[in-house]
Amino acid sequence: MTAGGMPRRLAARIAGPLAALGLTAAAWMALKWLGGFQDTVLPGPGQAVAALADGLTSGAYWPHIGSTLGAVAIGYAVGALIALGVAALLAVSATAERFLMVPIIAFQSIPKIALGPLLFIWVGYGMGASVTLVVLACFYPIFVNAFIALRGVDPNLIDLYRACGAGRLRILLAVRFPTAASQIMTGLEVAVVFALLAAVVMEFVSATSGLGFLIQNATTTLDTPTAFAAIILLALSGVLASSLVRGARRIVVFWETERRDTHMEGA
Amino acid sequence: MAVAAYEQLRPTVVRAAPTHLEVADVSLTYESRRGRVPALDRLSFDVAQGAFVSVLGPSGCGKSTLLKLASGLLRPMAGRIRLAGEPVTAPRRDVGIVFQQPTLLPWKTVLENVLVPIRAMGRDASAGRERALELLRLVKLEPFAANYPHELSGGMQQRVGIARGLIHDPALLLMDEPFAALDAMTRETMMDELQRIWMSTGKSVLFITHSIPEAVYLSDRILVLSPRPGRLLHSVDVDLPRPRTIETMADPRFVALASRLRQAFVAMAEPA
Ligand SMILES: Nc1ncnc2c1ncn2[C@@H]1O[C@H](COP(=O)(O)OP(=O)(O)OP(=O)(O)O)[C@@H](O)[C@H]1O
Ligand SMILES: [Mg+2]
Repeated sequence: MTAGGMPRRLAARIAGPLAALGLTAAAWMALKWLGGFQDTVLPGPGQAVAALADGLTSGAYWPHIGSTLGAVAIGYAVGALIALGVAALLAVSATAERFLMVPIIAFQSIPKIALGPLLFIWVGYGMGASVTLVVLACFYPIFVNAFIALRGVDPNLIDLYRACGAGRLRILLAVRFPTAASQIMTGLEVAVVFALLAAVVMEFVSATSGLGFLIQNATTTLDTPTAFAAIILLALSGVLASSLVRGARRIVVFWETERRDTHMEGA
Repeated sequence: MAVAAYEQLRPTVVRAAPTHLEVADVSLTYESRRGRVPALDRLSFDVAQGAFVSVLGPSGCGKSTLLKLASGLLRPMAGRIRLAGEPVTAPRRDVGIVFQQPTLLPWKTVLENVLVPIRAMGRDASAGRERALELLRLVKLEPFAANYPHELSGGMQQRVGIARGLIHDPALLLMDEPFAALDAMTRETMMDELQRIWMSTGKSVLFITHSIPEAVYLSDRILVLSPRPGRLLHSVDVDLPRPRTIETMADPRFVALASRLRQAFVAMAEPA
């Protein structure tokens, strides 16, 4: 590795997103100018950023950020635990698979968002409904990736453990989960986006706080800069949450990341 | 011509040691949605206590299947398998397996991989560390104890698999082409090491291989299987003196036996 390789690599990693950000702002301004949109219809990026800075410094946005991210975090954690548990059960038990696979696929084909209004009736106002919808939205992507990966383990590895008298539970924990870890992380990464989406949609319907609520509220008063500020916050949350999961992946499946890195260095 | 060669290959020595592994009339057919694949057909042989028996046969004739049956990972559809007099109904702890592929866990270090059988048995692995290091020394991988499998070559990975098969000191060692992925030099060292381990521990070994010289070098007896479904074609005793060395390979008896086995293979490849 050459001297100064690290800073250069860091610069290269930041340059891409920065350029994309600049392009987005430029396109945004061009669109506003070409379309001749009023500020109440489409505010400029400057106005949105000003609203954002104002909302953050005045402290007005923090409770909303807190309740959206709280609902996402709780719902995501609960959804992931349920999905991994069900996937593990179905991966080791053919009987469980026979009974549960069809209901799960039927459930998957419902657009979870459509359940929002019903959840409002059942759970009412507040974070409970958002958490519930997040759980439902996270379940399938995590489940299906985990199930396929837990099933698809190299039969030789399983034979190795079976030959030593290991039972299904030990094989599940010692072989299946570590082998499946990479694909499980993929499911977890995909589910982050679903979680945010579900939280915001539920906040449109039934919340009294949250970024979805903020957007809803701001648009009814034609305060579009605030709506855009909330949208920017959502985008940032999505990026942040995804990078957290990707960072976790590097640690969890270190042997795969290392292998890939050596390939890249060798190339 | 071919028939005459077969006649010369008939067993000559009757062994006195008690039977360790008994395979009697064993057949197995794989059933899948794509159809039935008969893999073994009424196979019978014994491995005496402390004997080194090799299985030679063309690719796909059921050698790995035989190994899975002997280890209790598969159950025969017909016939019976006994180990030290008891029917094999499930995997047993006094059997060690070296698989055809290295089959290592990528998230465990080399040392931890060698300890896998101990952990899989639910035993305390810390007691096995010394022995694991000793086995790694034996397969010349001690400096790599803390490395991960992806940092090793294919041949090195296979040697980890060999050390792992020995970790719990099994009385019967089942080896599925363990040296196939090794270079010629390492292969010869490993053959010598295996002979030494076997002679000093009194283990019984069932050794699967594609290599005729390897089989002759190591075995007390060589079983030759037919193309799929595997049937026993020949059982050949090898009574060359031990320990066998590089010189043994030049011994006229070694050369003659190897060439007769090769002829048997050629005869097998010819259409009936
Ligand atoms: N799980 C399986 N399902 C269906 N057929 C199988 C299965 N495993 C093996 N076979 C078939 O059974 C036959 C014997 O397989 P086996 O692996 O025992 O051969 P082998 O003698 O070990 O071959 P090689 O020397 O190439 O390793 C092959 O024709 C193979 O296609
Ligand atoms: Mg095989």
